[in-house]
Amino acid sequence: MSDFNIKLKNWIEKKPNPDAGINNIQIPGEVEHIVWQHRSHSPTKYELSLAHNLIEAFTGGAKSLSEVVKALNEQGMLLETGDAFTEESFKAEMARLGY
Amino acid sequence: MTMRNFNDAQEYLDYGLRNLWHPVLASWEVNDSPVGITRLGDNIVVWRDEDGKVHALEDRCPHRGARLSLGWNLGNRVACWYHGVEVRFDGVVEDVPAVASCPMTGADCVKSYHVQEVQGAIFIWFGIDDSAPDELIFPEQLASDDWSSFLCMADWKVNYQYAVDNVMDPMHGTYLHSASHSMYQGDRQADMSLRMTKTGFVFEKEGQTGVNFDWVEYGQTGAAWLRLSIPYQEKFGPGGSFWIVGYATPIDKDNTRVFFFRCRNVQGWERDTWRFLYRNYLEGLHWDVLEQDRIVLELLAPDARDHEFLYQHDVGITRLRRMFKRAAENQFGLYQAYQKSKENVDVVGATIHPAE
Ligand code: FES
Ligand SMILES: [Fe+2]
Repeated sequence: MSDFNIKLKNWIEKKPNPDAGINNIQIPGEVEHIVWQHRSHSPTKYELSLAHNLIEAFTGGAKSLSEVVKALNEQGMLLETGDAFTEESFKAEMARLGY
Repeated sequence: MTMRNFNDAQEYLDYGLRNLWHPVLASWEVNDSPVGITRLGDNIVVWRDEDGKVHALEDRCPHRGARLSLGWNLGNRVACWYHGVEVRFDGVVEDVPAVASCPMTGADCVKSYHVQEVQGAIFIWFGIDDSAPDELIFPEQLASDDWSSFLCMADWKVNYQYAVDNVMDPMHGTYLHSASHSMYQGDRQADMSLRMTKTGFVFEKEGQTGVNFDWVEYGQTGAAWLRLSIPYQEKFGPGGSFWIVGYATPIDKDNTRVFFFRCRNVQGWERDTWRFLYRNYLEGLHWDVLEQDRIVLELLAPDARDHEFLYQHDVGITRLRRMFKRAAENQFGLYQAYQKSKENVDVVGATIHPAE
């Protein structure tokens, strides 16, 4: 089972295909389930550890932006650049990854 | 145009109520080639033109019945793979390239559907006759910018009425999903009551709101939807309860595509954080819960609905079934009358007068 949605990756470049005979028919009862419908790639190590650290921060009671950033830094979670999080960089990173 | 005939109102209902918008696909499923689907028992070809606009026709070539979805995407029309007949988005045959002049050219031969793409989903109007579709109105969770949502889709091998019953049944959360991350709380006993709204009704556990899957709402606003909310654990971040707006679209008598929009009232960095966590962690957990529903439903006893012993928790189910049955009886008559009116029209649109 794939851990991302390959079709999601393709659908943005939706130009009519010049070819026929591409069988895109969904036959009732012949189901391919997609678990991860909303990501177009496997999560990176960085993304996984950021998710993990965020859950740990929330578990520890962090609620406000400053509490979350403080908790991430205490947990040793760094940006991909190796920098510690600031409120600004955290917001920017979430805007990038949480589109 | 092909006609589907139903023997009675129950058979009609088993294929799904019409005069409604039904979601049929996620936006990302329609890329550059036509897609062939079955919804409400109709075979439909769906494709995107150069501008990204989505079109839908009956998936049946007027020539010899090949599926148009196997053919060429020519933007505002599709061409059949078998002998090249070109059918425009409005159902009119634009060209029959294999013969010099063909009476089929220019004729309205193929049923076309009204389509709209909203909230990452493609909705089709399944009208009984040719009248204009109703307006498609979403519940607040999808209509308002204060909310953020993801669409989760799954095909289940059950009639859609079982999928609807499942959502109309708030009591199952405490049992079926007891080991899940969000639905373990709440009393295992409750009194249930029913309250009418402007667009449908709410069915709820008395005195337990905000604890677990405590209530569910049925609404009909151009489409038939179900809505509920479930408390989220604090460790999954800010934003409060998790809301679901669901649609169950019949594929055929035995298969259903469920569309569950998963929504939270979040803005700013809280919104972004939820969306990040959803993509990288939460979607997997939610999928596991949904699988519990699918497993129970797909393995229900054969014809389970015909041999039930319903009790007080099932009042929401019985109420909705009664509404559906009445709607089906009403629609079945209209559908038959409309199909009959079409019987005497031949393929090039001329009226045949059998009496002459
Ligand atoms: S069946 Fe489509 S062109 Fe002949
Ligand atoms: Fe459930």
